[in-house]
Amino acid sequence: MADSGAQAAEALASGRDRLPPGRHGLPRAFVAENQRERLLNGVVEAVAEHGYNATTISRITAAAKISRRTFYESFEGKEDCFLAAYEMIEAHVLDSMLSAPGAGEPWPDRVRARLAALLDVLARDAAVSRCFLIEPLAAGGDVAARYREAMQLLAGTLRPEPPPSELDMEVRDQALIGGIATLIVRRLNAGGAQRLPDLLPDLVELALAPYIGREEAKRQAAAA
Amino acid sequence: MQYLSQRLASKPSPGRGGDPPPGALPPPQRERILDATERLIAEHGCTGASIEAIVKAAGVSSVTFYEFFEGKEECFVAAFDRAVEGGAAELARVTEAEELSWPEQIATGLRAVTALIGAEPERARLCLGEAQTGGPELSAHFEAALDRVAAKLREGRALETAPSDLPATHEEATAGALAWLLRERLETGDTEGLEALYPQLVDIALAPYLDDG
Repeated sequence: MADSGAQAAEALASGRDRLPPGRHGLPRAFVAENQRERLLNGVVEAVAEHGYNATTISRITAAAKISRRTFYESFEGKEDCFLAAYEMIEAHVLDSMLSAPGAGEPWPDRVRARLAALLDVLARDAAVSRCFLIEPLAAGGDVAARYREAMQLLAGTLRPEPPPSELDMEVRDQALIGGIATLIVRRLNAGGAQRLPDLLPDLVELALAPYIGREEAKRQAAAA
Repeated sequence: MQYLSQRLASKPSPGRGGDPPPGALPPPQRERILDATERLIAEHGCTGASIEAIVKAAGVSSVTFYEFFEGKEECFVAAFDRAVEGGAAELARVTEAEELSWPEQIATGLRAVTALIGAEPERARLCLGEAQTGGPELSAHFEAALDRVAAKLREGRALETAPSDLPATHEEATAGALAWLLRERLETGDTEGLEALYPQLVDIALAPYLDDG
């Protein structure tokens, strides 16, 4: 089963955009997974283009080139589908940050590497970035809650280790993430996704200054 | 034109679109529509605040609605602008009443902001949270309001203790951080947390400029 799934994936990767209709001999689980993935891509396309509120199931299925019936086989509705896409994006962004080089380096270098990874991954795909940082608030409900958790996790990857105990880390985290998200979102809204990596020195200074002082933070930022 | 009520709306109307002409009293119906919009957005978010619900809560007809606003988003923007102008007027009142230094103005201003949020949580929700969910025009107005905060913070660069090499984005980030912290308390209904937050807000806003080491 895994083999035929791999063959099918290869067939798709080799240029066929969608599965052939009818009896294609592909295992049912693989087909379902493939359709689900395409719907996740479709919801990202639709939400980035129209905004979450104006996104309809029809827009998602049109972007994914998948039937409405199939949509409801995979998802209960729009929120369920967007939440699944959000979780995948979140995992990818956090993985990129955590697997950035510099794992064994001193904390300031690690922060710089992680912020660089964050900006790179967001610069690569403006639609994905909108879905990660802008649309969750409009979506509200479970998606907004998940977004808040994701932002908390993101801030956690930038914390000094061990955290200075006398400080209110929750407030520090939120202030940092509020600053970072604001700078990124404004550039995304202005259509400047590709230039996001230019923000790196400023974000490094923002993350480091409260803990190591501005002079040293500046030095580290210059290295960015 | 999609709706009959849009077709029936007489135009142009003096109060249509942005703000009423200077000196003129805002038309009471327009104010009622904005009051209802504010309340409904606080309760149901921008998505849940439909024109149908707004006109019902405001006690006006949908024709009247379209005489003032082209659609929902324009109405949201007007409600947001009105709320921000109200807040800005209050801030100007408390910070310009006496001769205050810049750090005192910031501290007094932040005190007033936390008090305003506690007193008018519905309006605050519109300004801090929902403003980011009601479409691109509203987002642009939200960003313009953040810019005003950033401009006020930037005055701190004139202090002798202020470092000369703060990043250009510093105030933008600080304004975003302050808005984020306030919004999080508001969303969780944590008004006590709002009080406790005040000294930290002041620290976040002022510390970079008072830092002499």
